[in-house]
Amino acid sequence: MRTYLFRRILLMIPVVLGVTVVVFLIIHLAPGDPVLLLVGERAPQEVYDRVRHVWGLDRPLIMQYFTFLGNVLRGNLGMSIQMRRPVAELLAGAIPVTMELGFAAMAMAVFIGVISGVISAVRAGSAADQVTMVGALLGVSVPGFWLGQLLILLFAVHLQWLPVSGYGGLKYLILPALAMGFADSAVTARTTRSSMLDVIRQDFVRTARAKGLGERVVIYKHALRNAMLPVVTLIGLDLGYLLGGTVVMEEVFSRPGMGRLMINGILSRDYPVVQGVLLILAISVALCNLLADIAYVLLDPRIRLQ
Amino acid sequence: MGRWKRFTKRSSARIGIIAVVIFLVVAAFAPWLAPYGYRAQNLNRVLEAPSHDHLLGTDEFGRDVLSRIIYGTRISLAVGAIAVGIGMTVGTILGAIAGYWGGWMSLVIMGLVDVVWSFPTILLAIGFVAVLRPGLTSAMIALGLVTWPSYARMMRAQVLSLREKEFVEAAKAQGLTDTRVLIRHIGPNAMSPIIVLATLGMAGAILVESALSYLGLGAQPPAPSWGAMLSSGRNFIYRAPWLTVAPGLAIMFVVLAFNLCGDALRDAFDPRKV
Repeated sequence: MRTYLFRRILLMIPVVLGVTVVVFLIIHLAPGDPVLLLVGERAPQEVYDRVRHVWGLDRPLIMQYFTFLGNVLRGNLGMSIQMRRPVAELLAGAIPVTMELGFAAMAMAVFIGVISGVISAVRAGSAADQVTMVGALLGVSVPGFWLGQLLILLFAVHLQWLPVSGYGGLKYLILPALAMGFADSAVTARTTRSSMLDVIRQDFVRTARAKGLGERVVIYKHALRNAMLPVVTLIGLDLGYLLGGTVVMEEVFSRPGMGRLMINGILSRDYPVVQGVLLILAISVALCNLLADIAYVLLDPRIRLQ
Repeated sequence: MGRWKRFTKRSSARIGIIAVVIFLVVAAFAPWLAPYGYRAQNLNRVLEAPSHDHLLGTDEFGRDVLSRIIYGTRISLAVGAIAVGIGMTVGTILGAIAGYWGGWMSLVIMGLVDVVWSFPTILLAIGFVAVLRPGLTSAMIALGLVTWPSYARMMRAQVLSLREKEFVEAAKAQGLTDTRVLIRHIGPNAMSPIIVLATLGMAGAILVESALSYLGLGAQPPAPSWGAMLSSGRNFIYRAPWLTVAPGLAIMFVVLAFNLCGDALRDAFDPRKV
């Protein structure tokens, strides 16, 4: 187990380094001169040269990369051109907002997905199963940001139960989490259903029934526990992707998270901010993948023994 | 039962195919089907509710929403097809190289796959668009660049299993070069799961393009992109909710159509279901 963990963590290092290379290249190969953005078109040549030197942009690209990597390792993600504040400071304010939405959406997806997946598997072929699977198909086909707008239309505009947009408390979290969670619950429901269908046909479930256990105990205590393995892995993998999905949802609901920070950064060509958000979110996804792998090994003793 | 028969036997597949064909026809004949031009403004009739003249209402410039949705089909299908084309071409070539020759090339290519997979698709697409400057062409290229790893991984797995088969050895024994064996013999036999992936990829690409356009990073005004229409509709959600409902339904239906086809193809090609 320890060897596996060690190897898995070791394998993550080149991936994270690769992520830093991609992020660095995306930003540094962008057309347009970042120095001009800083000093303006009319700045004298000596000012231009000085700024270019101070920012290290006159050095070879490879040297710039190593400086960037060194700074990242020290937690220095550069300065925002637009806001004239350290990117790390801006991110520190935005990360909790994004994490809150990511986790809330995940909770929503697991709640809706697991329950509907179990019902669908236990009553395979029934009307409930058909409805759940059609719902799952719709879930993967509906654009989350559109669903968000529809929820605003219904719950904020017509019923006036919840605020249209903004940040600060549970009432601002429900609609975006529901919009993101619904799409993701579709995948969870499909996975839970297929895993449950595999498990409930196995001998140990038949034995549990033969012992005279109630159907609820058989399904929820015996079958579901064993069927959750692929679902737990999926949850780990999805968390990273949900964090990415928040980029769009934050725009719909005007939440001041990493997504909004990034979009504003793109529109104002504030590359250090874009770079910082990309880097943090990609590393989060890599970490979530690692956690999913670890959870898989911890939950399944067969893998541990191998 | 043949794969095609297994595919068409499913009612969901038939619905998906019919829907895809309808969308293709709408895209091809948009100028004849749309009641108005997608840029035709009528400032006397802005934000009008659906009526006999304008079946899906008008937007803030008095443009007919139905006409813009009809023209928008062209954008969605073109972006989907080109993005999938780029992703599939790059991915299958790199996957085939990694699978057939292995060694350090496989290590580098699969390492790159792992790195690209560390980025959520939409996020990396946004990053590329930011670099390439917002616009439809950038969106297509960005989508192609972020989706190739799925094809590469699938192709590599296919080639790895096929290269040990007897027909490949027979082709090599005939004196064919590696490249020829790969293109003429392994390639065609490895394409089934790639086609499934591409069909589902169309759905994904259309969804991501609409998200990019929604964020103002894809199609630029006055192009009738469904995502951009939803974005501008957000400003009039109280006064003109039809601007929010109609383009979203269009996205959902086209994505659903490709998902139905993709799911059915996957089941038809799944050897366990033979």
